[in-house]
Amino acid sequence: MEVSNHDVLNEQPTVLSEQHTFGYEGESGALFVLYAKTLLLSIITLGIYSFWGKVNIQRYLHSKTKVVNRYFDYHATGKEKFIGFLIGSVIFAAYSAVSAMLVTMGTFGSVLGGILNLALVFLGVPYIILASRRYLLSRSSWGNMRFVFKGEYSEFLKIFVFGSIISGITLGLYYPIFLIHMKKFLTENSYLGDKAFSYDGQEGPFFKLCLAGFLLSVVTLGLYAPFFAAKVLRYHVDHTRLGNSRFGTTLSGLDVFLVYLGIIFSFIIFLPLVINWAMNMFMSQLTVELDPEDLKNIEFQEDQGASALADGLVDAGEVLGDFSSAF
Amino acid sequence: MTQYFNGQTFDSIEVRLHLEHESIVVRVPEGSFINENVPNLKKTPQGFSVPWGSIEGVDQKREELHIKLKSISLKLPKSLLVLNDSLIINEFLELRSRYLVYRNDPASSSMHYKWLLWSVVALLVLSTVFVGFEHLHRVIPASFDDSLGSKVNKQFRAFFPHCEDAASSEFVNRSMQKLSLENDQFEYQVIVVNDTLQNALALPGGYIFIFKGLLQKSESQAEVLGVIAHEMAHVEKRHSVQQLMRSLGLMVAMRLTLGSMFDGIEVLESGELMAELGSGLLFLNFSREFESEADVEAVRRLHQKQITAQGMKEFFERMSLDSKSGSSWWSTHPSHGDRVTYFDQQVQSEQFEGDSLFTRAEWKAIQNSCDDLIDQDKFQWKSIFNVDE
Repeated sequence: MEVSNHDVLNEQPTVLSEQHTFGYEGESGALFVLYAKTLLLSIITLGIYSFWGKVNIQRYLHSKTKVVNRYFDYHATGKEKFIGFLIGSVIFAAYSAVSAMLVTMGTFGSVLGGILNLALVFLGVPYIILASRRYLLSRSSWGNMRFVFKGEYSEFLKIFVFGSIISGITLGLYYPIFLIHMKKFLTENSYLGDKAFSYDGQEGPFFKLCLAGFLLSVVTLGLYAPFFAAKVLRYHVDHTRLGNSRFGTTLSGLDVFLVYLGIIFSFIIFLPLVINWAMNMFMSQLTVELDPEDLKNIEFQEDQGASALADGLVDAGEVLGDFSSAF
Repeated sequence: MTQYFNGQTFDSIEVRLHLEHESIVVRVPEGSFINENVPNLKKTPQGFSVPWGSIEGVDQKREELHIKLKSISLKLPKSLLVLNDSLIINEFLELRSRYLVYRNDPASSSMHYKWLLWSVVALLVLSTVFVGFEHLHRVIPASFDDSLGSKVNKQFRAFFPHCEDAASSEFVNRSMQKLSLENDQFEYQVIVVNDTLQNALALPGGYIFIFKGLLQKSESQAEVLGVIAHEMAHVEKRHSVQQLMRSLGLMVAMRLTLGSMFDGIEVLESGELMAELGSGLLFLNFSREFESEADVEAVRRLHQKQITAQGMKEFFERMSLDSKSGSSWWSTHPSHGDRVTYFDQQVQSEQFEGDSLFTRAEWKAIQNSCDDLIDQDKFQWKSIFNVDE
């Protein structure tokens, strides 16, 4: 049951739970203009404006999305993103310099270089996943209440290293289990203010879903892939809760297939229009079975440690990586 | 009705708004929590007031107007005022435009001239990037070519079986003596590769690989000397470095355009694919341009050394019989037919009698040198390296 747009949050809870549908109010023209502005100013400023431009686009997408008559918002700034990129560039350059130096040191250097690369994968990747999520949540809000991520790096590291190794040993068979462990960790350490999200997806059913999806995708030469992607997304959404409030989606494989088609035939120029349309479609099918009690007494939790460094490292890796690969 | 969200607690508070010349006055119910992280916020007995300059932004929703107040720290919660009465919304917007200089709406008509300006400047910047990278090789020292070439040379030498017998050495020495010019930028190393392919390739810095098949199948010495002159032209004109700089320029342009917009969104993958296809087509064209330039330069060198371009003509006549490739935009090289026509014109203009560099017997020995040819079917390097013709 969808409720009308009056402020349900300030009402007394007369029903246990009500279903609310998400909504997206963005307009394709406005989003197109935002992309065009980002493009032109980024070119003029040799890419520097892109940090501000991308933040503006994210802010637009967030601020036009709502549920239960409250809007999402995005509070990151271009300046902090740019600083993250600068620091990331220094770190990336230092790493590249050390790698290049090790290559000239013969066998010993090659072994050391290999260890360094392994460390980068097993220590760096989980750091980036975690820190990037932490930053995103700390700069996002719903109804002006910030999200927070409180997952510990050491815990995630165990999940990541163990999952990666076992997935490798089992030739990918363990990968769905690894994915669900990561999903559970990332979701259960996410909060709206001080209200925790939870995830009750199970290893067995998710493994079966992935195995069937993978095999069908292979048999149908990839045609089943969008339907598989939709099933995975539905599984994750359906098993996510905020307190007692449960999320759900009716997103179908055909919807995902249409988005893929849209992307292919957008020829980049019309991509903002496809993004706007896809946002509309995704959000109109996303629901939350809201227990009004869940939204009472939520309080802000400060996260002083969240920074744009992880995103900056990824950006730096992309930009500098392009250049180093050219040589 | 106006709602005040203090960011500290989830529940909103119903407040009354008074819009004044200097500031916005907010009256809150008694005992309400007020977020004091707003710069220049003043507490009043009824609530608080903030100057117009403390507004971070205004967001027009379908039925509401959201007024976001600045925060003294990014990490602290922000305050939000939500207006849903059209009278107050209109009054607010009117006063705001009167008292505050704020950012223009990018879609408004007053911004049209800025859009035009941005577009022109952006085009100028992109053109400068292209032109800048196009000419960047001029400021890069020639030693860069050598360091680039010497690395690949080591790998090639390890990979290709090469001839080191007396005939091959004599061929290399005498050919290079004949073809070298005083003003050559690079010192040349010519390597004869023991393989049946009729081809040659040049690395930056002066490393030239002549495949044995070319020596064997060539009908005259002039053919081989012409091919070497062509490869030397690639080296002297620094085509590899130019190509590298062009690819860097394109990479910068791609990053400035696609990378500036679609980072963090998975759909970028399709964008990257398009970019790769686009750059691939451009490079095919670049390559053709370099080949033509190398042909012109080769003829100049040959004529300077009194060697006829007839050999080059015959080489491409033979190549055109071997392959039926026509001229198309997709070709990495100019068509053989076009090249034959060009060399024919050059031959017509020759006013000298070319001498042979080697006697008939010497040439026979060179053609038969290193005769343990490796069957190229067993040696699949052709598919690995883009061998130049």
